[in-house]
Amino acid sequence: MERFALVSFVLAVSGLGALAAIAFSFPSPVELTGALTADRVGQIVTVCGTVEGVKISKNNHTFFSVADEEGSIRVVAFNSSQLAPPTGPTCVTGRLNLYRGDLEIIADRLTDHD
Amino acid sequence: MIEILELAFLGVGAGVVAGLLPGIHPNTFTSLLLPVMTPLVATFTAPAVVVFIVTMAIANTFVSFLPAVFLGAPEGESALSVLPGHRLLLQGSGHEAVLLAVAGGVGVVLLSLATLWLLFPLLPFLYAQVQAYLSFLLLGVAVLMIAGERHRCAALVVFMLAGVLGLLSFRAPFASAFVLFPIFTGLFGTSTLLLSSKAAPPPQRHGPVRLPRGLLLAGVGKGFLSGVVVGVLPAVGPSQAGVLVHQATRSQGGREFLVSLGGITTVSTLFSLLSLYLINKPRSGAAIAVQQVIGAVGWEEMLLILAAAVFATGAGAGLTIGLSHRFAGLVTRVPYPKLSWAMIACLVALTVALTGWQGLLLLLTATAIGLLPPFWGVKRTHTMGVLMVPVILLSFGLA
Repeated sequence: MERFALVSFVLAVSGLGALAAIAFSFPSPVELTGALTADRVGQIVTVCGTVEGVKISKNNHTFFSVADEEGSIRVVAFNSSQLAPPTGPTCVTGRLNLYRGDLEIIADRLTDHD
Repeated sequence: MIEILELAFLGVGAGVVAGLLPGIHPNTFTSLLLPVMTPLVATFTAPAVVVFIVTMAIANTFVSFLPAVFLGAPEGESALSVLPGHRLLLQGSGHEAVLLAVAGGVGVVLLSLATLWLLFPLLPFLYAQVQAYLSFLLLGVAVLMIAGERHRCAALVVFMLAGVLGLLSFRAPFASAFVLFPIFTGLFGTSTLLLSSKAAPPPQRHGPVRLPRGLLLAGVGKGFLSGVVVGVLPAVGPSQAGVLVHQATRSQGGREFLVSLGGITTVSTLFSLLSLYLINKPRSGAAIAVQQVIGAVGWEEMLLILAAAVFATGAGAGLTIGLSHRFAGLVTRVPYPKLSWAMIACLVALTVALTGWQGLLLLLTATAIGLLPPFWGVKRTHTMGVLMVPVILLSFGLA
């Protein structure tokens, strides 16, 4: 039984290593907002564009929109104290979510758009 | 009205089918149904679709105990920790295990209905209080769970491995709406089936069973309390809340735990639906689906949800008891190992269909982590670190 436990442990750690390599080595490609559709909810996506309508709630959640040549999408950054409020052209990486029928991105990372 | 009744029966049927598949969490099944929601909403009225979702979710909580008890038993010597339901199955009392869980579910739903007047102001109040200390409360729950184990290091390793799996899988570029499917299937489905693939349960007793009243009352009370814990603390699952409440109180053993676990499983689904009205937040896959169909939940919608839940409780409990009789009779005649392997093949195929070949990596890793608790003699509920670690880090602003 100890052998099975060891095999399981090695498999678990190897699997996590492979997942880490995938998660950190392959950033999601930049997409236009027009390519984001409801059937992609749950996927990690990156969009770049102009930031509009920044609002910070009293719970420290930041809400804004990112607009590119194909449209705009709402972005939410929960507990955003560690994120600088976005200004100017910005790239947003996060999970695509559906909220009350509209698509939004739950932001994971904000970077300046060159 | 007829349309609502039709979809109520259809929902119970869907809940039964989903419940019979091991490793398919109700939330996963609801997410599988999301693509069907659009044609459903186009064909039927919104209240009827809501009734479908609610009856499916509630009936599922009862029926899911059938595969959990009859299909998940580990081979005698292969697992250090045997769950109470499996222990009864290996003693020839699998049917009693299911009855205890069903009694808990029905009892806690009745208790919830009787105390709605108290729950309505209490749940939003507790939720508001908890939000300020959420990160510390969740950390406290994790520490209590691990400290309650004899093999604390093993429990901590399982919790952390599952947590890392959660963190990595949510940020993997191939993550999709179904990312939780291979994770929960691996942690609780395939890992359990692998261990049970050599098991040979003895003939089962499936005659009338007398359930002691004191045990039922204690189990229902603890199930109700645990349901409130699940209702206000995100990422805390029914098993964890049950273990915590049983640690904090004097437990009468595995049978009482089964009653309360049956209660928590059903009532946490019910509370997650009621939370749409009480705190305007969806707390489960079913609640998200309801919110997508009708948006805001008012008083009338809440009454509809309650009525559908009561119907599904009766139907789900009755069907589960009936099916349990059949399962108890079949368990020695069905080739147990072949059935386990067939189930594993189905779950692998579903994983590939929903998440692609990359999902297999998640399934394999989650299965390996799910195998560790029984090998190391700790509770499998530590694998809920898969949700708790990301939520704790997020609440501390670290993720």
